[in-house]
Formats: sequence, structure tokens, C-alpha cells
Amino acid sequence: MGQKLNVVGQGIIRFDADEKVTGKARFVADMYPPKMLYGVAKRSPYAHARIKRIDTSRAEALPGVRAVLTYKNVPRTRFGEVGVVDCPVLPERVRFVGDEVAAVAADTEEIGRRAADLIEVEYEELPLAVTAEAALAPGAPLIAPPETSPTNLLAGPLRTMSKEIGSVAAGFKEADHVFEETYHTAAIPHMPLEPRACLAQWDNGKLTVWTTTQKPFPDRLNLAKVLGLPETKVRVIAPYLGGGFGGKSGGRRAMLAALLAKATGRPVSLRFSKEEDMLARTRPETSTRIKVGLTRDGHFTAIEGDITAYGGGYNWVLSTTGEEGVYCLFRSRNYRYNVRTVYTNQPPGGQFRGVLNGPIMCGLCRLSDRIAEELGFASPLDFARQNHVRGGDDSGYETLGRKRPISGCHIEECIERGAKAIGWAEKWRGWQQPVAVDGPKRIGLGFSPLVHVSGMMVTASAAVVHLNEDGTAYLFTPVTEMGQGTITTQAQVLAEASGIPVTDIQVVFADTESTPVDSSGQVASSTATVRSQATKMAGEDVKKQLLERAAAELDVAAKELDITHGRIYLKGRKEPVSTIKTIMAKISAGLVPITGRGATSYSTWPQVAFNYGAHFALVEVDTETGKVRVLKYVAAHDIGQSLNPVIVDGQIYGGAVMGLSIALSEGLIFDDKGRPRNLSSADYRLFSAEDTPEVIPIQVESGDPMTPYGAKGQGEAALVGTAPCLANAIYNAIGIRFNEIPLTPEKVFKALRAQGR
Amino acid sequence: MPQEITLKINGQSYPVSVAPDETLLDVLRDKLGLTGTKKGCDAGDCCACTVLIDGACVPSCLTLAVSVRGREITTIEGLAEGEKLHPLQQAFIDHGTVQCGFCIPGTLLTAKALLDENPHPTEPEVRHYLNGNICRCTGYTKIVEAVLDAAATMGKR
Repeated sequence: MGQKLNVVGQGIIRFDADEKVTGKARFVADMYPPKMLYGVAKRSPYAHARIKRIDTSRAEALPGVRAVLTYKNVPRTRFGEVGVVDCPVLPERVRFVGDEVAAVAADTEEIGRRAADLIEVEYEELPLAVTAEAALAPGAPLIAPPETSPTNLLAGPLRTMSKEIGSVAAGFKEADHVFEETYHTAAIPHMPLEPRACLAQWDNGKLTVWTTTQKPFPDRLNLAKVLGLPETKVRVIAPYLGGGFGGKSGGRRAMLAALLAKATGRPVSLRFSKEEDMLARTRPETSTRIKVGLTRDGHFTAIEGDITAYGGGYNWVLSTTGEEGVYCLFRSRNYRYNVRTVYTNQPPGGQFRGVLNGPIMCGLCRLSDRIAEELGFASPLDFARQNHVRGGDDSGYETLGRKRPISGCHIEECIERGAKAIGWAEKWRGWQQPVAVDGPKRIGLGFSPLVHVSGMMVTASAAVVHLNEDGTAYLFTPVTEMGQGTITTQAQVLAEASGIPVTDIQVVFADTESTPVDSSGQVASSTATVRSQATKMAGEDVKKQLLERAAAELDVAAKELDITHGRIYLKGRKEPVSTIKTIMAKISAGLVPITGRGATSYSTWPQVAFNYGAHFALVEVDTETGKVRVLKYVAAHDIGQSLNPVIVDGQIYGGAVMGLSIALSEGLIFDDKGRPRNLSSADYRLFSAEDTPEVIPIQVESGDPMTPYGAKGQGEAALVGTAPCLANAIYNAIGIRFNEIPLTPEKVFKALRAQGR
Repeated sequence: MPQEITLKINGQSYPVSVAPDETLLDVLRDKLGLTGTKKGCDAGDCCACTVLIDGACVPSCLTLAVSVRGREITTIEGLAEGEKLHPLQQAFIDHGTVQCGFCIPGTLLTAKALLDENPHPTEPEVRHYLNGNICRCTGYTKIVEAVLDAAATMGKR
């Protein structure tokens, strides 16, 4: 795409593929240091209760039990993430079914679980609130710690906010049409294949934890605070994660493992069961209200998105993501985004792939489909083409007092190529005209546009490169590797920027003792943009030093030289004049070692980059059973420049299928006592190989004027288009619009029967 | 009451002391250092723990260690022949199939059992056979593609 790239844009084999196919790759639970003990947590069966009495004597007496922790013998400190400090190390008052009340270290996991059962807890049940409405009602029980929040509405930045651009009241007033709908999305646990785990080990007053985290630095900060240590005495390492999807960070497990390890003087490995893992974190249940105003010919005068997030008993939520869905997909004269994070007696709400933009897209892009039909557009594609933003439009984001324009929007090409891949022209017969009907089976076609972030204002990072004497290099980067191929793509960026061969690069990642500080962690699809920029800067820094060294050796000006694939060339000449290895071999003669450094914050960048997309679905609805089968799914994304097309495709496949599974099959179900009723991987059903249709990923590489090599992130974007796209396809098949997810067979069946069908 | 048994794993003999209710999965990981087999759900729902017992794929979390004495157990560590990868492993590398890698050992062994039983499966047959191997990362497309490619490669030998 214009630029000449040597390594970025190549589908090179991932660095970690070999060890993962041979079973050699080590995850946290694969580490068994000598004298290791197993940590097991005891959990509350009540959604809201005070611990009246807790007796650990029978547990302590069990042979093989080495330590037991309760609120009585742990630091009385609270910790949390991003400005909300609401989590005591162990509570006296539990706030959700599954809340930890005690922890045990034992010789085997089995002894640990038996010991946990032997801990006697007398609870005083408290009134509870399992919905946001109940939690906000007058007289509702206070779930939050009073010091954190005087009411269940959690105020403060990134949790509860209202931001308006222009005036939506004026926009609704001048509108010819006003539409308003409310959508409900269920609580979704991340369900990585690898449950959360943490191994803690002390050595001479210094703590090391290997933990399933996407945020080693925030976790270190919390550990240091609770343990009363300087950060230099706490080392957090995130090895390969078996999936994360936004959910792996924070929580108590590192604290408990560290304190058990301290109490016993031995390493402690705390591994969650699948059920514990399902209770650790969710994309919060939401009520999402979308209200829009339009002119007669279908241009937006106002777009309002209003989300109430059922935040759970503890808050690990970043709520402001979702703004981009409101401000940055469709052009409007006025916008408003309101988000309310409400404490509820449910598992903790937190970050999740797509965050609250998932519910926003679900609502806005189902509503826009309905609007397109009612205002007489021939197809939803026409409506999207008329109304999408353009590059240069105001993004609604502002930092340092400056407005930031949208760096580019290539959704038209996504729509065009995606429509071709699904066969839109041949299949679209009009609104509520199914593609085909075969007895009870009706085939529908659906479309959704989408937008998602590729970095956020809070994302900042750094990278360091060391060159070795043999010309190989270390890249020290805080990225975590949870499956998205970050260590490979960052090596590609370094190779591109520096000229070091990618096969000569060893990536050291996610280790607070050696990799630079990154307080935001692996969130917001920011690696392709923010971390790549830090890596690129470090690579350019190294290249500059190498060229200066070569120039001195060869007696030419540095600006006449270039490096690719490890070889140093005079520009314009074909034969290399030296190599990196040759230059570095001379270091031992007393020359200055070569290290490179890069650091950046997205908040200083002049524009804002987004991943735009167009999704298309062909579904079959069986009107006898309510079962929706996805036959074919196309996901086209405005990726800018693919760092590694095979890895990017992988994110499109994976994000889309995770989204399909969520839209049709997933969601925690709570009873009126706040107990989840489908808490097992048998009852909580993820899409399997047979559920999954043909998925066609399309990468639209139209570059970007601001980002490194024009790359944008793809980690989350494919997920947020699925819920609206499927609902729109179901509407085409059976003429029913749904305002919720998941759209299980039961729900579709009931809706059909309610219509007498 | 612990029992002294010998397990035959990847062609080697492992004497080990086990409780009668210990699963093969826990014995492999916690006692024998064979951590390639993963614990995902410990309840037979995700198939991350799949091993081969006399060539048939089995969830090791639902298998008692004492019940497989004398049987030929194959774990992911035994799929390659020394440094030489099995065509399935090579295909998973070449097709960009691997993401987080946690489901991969179980998926590879299940796929091996499939191809040993049915050397030329169709795509629906591959999806059906692998239907128990849950993956949250890949969306399955590249898994299926790699298995079909490995079948073709193996067919040519």
C-alpha cells in the first residue's frame, strides 16, 4: 500500500508455534518449582452477606495443610484498578456468589479443597440487589464499600460519565423522525480455555509471581501496595496465557498466592477451576438505550447512547469505551454518551473484548437497520454508505485541549468487498424477504457496519532493544502473549524499523523486572498502534547508531547507508558493504554498546485511529425449534496495514466466532438470590467446530496517515459486529426484531409462538 | 490407600504411586512432569486434556490412572518422533492455526485419532470428530484447514 515493507506485512510463522504444537510451551499451571504447595480459595455461597464467624481450626488440623488465610490475618488494605479501590485482600462482607472468603495452602490440591470445605463460616445474609434497577432503587442495600462510593452508582472517570457534543435535545427537536429502543445484553464470562492461575515465590524478601495477567504492571502496583514493598521487590511475569480476552488481570489471586507463600515459606500455585474462572470476571450485563433523531432523508441530527452497566460486586470496569460507537461510526450534528456503572451482587464486571462498545454496536446497528427499512432505503448498505463518518471528521476525543480528527475511515471498501463475498446482490430480495424458504426453515441475510478503537487515550508504552555481540538482538517489550501473536508482530516491527533480521530477534515480554513500564496493559487493541510505535522508535534508534558506526568504519556519511535483513548497503547499490554482525563483532574492542529506546502515549498523537468494519451473515432459522444456524459469515475490516496477515486473519476468525457464540448461545443466568444457574462448561455452551460456519475474513489495507506503518488493531473489532449482524439477518428471515442477546432457540421459539407462528 | 502402578506413556514405562481416585490428567501433570496435556475444565466438557489410549482419543480428566495400567498412552509429548514433527503438527504451524495454544495438544491428538481411523475425512467429518475440542481463540477454520491438509500430506506418503 504505497510504502515498501520488508518484514511488516509478511505472514511469517509465529515464534511460539513450534513449542505450542509440541506441548513444550509453559503456562502458569505448568510450573512446578520444588516444594510447591497448592493454593485453594473458599468461596461464598451467598450473593450478599456478612461473615459473623469464621473458624479455620478444623482446616488447619487437616494433615497437609500449611497455612490458612481469612480477613483476620491478612493486611487490611483495599486495592483495585484505575482509580477505584474497592477490593479488600479478604472481605468481612461478601458481595457476590463466589466471592473469596478464605485461602488455604496445602500439599495437594485435593487436600486444599477438603480443607476449604472444613472452614466453617457463619453468614448473616443481607438484602441483595441483582439488577442495576434494584441497586439504584431507594432503600437499596449498599454494595460498594462506603469509602469507595456512597451509593451503588459508582461515580468517577472511566466508570460513570456523560459527555455531549453539541446538544442532543436540540437535535431531537429538529428531527423529522425520532427512534428509541432499549436493548439488554447478558453477563458474559470470558471463558478462556486456560483458567486463571498464579504462582508466587519469595526469595530473600523479594516476591516473584508468574500469573495469568494482561496487565503485569498494574498487578505489581497492587501487590507492592498491599505488601508494603517497593516495586523493586515485586516481580510480576506473565508467561504465555491460554487466552485472555480482556479478563485476565487484577482480582485477588496474586495477593492470596503471595500471602500464602509468605506464610509458608514455600512457592504456592493457586489455580482456578473452570467454575471459579467463570465467576472471576464478566462483560457486565447491560441495559443499553439508543435514541436517535434523523432528518426526512435519513441523516442523523442526534445520536444518544445510554448504558447502564450491572457492574458486579467489585469493579474492574473501564466504562468509557463505547463512546466511539456513538461518536465515530455515523455522522451526526449532535451526540451524547451516558454510561452508569452500578454495583450489583453479581460477579465483578470488567474489561472484555470489545468492552461496552459491544452493547453499543448491538443496539445502534440493530436500530439503524430498522431505521433504514422504515425510512425507505433499498437496503441497509445504502443507509450505512450515506451516513458513515469520513476521515478528518471530529472524533469527539480531545486531549491537551485539542480536538482529534478521525485518521481515516475505509468502511466503503469493507462494504463493497464484504457484500461481494456474501453474494449480497444475488441474495438480497428486500426487507423481510428471506433469501429462501424451505418448509419451516427460513434463510435470512443481514449486515452491520461497525467501529472499534485501536488504542485509547490511557494507553502508553515503551520498548528497549539491546544488540548482542553476535548481531542478534533482544526486544524488551511489556506486551503479553495471550494468543494474538504480539511477540511475533512486535519482532516484525523491530526488524522493519532497524534492519535486524527477524530471525535474529529474541522477544522478552511481560516481565516487570526487565521490560519497560506499561500501566495500561494489553487492552483496547492498542498493541498494533501504541506498542508498535514504541518498538518502531526503539528500532529506529538502534538503526541510527548502527549506521553511525558503519559510516565511521566505511568513511561515508551515515545518511548514505541503509540496513535491511542484517546487511548494510550504500543507498541505491545492490551489494552490501557490511553487516550488522560485522559491526557488532567489534564491540569487544571497547566501543559503546548499542541499545535502543522508544516510548509513546496515545494521548499525544494528533488524530485517533479506528478499525471500521462491515459484517455480513447468512443464517437459517428453523421456525419449528427456534434454532438459528449461521451458514456463512463475512467480516471485512479496515485494518490499515496488516502487521502479519495470517495473525490478523486469526483475530478476525476468532473475534467473529466468539461474537457469534455470545450472540446466540451465551450469558450467565442468575436466580433471585444472585446464584448463577449455568455455571459449568456443560451448561454454558460455547460454539464448537460444528456450530461454526464458513467465516471469510477480509483485510482492507488502505493505510493510515498516523499509525506506525499504517497499522491498526484487530484484537477486538471483529467481535462487536456480530450481535447486530445476526439480529438483522434473523429479522430478514422471520420478520422479528430482537432487543437482547443471547438469541437462544428458546427466545426465538417463544417470539414466534407469541405471533401465532 | 495408594497403589504402585506402572503407566506406559509414549513408549516409556513410568512407575508411579497413585490413589485409586486420581485422574490420569493429574498424574501426568502433577506427578510425571508431563505438562503438555492441559487441564481446562476437569469435567470432560472441553477436551483440552485429550490423550490417546491404545490409539483412541479419551479425556484424561475423566480417566482414572489405575484403569489404564498396561495400555499404550500417547500424550502430546509423544506425537513427534524426536525432532521430526508429525504432519499434523507441521500443518498447524504452516496454516497459522495456533493462537494461545491451550487447546492445541488435545486437538492434535483428537485429529490424529481421526486420521488414523479415517485417512480421508471430509470437512463436515473433521468438524464432527473435533466437535468436542472447544477453542475460544481461533474460530476453528484454521484447525479444520490444517487437519485436511495434513490428511492430504499423509495420503501422499
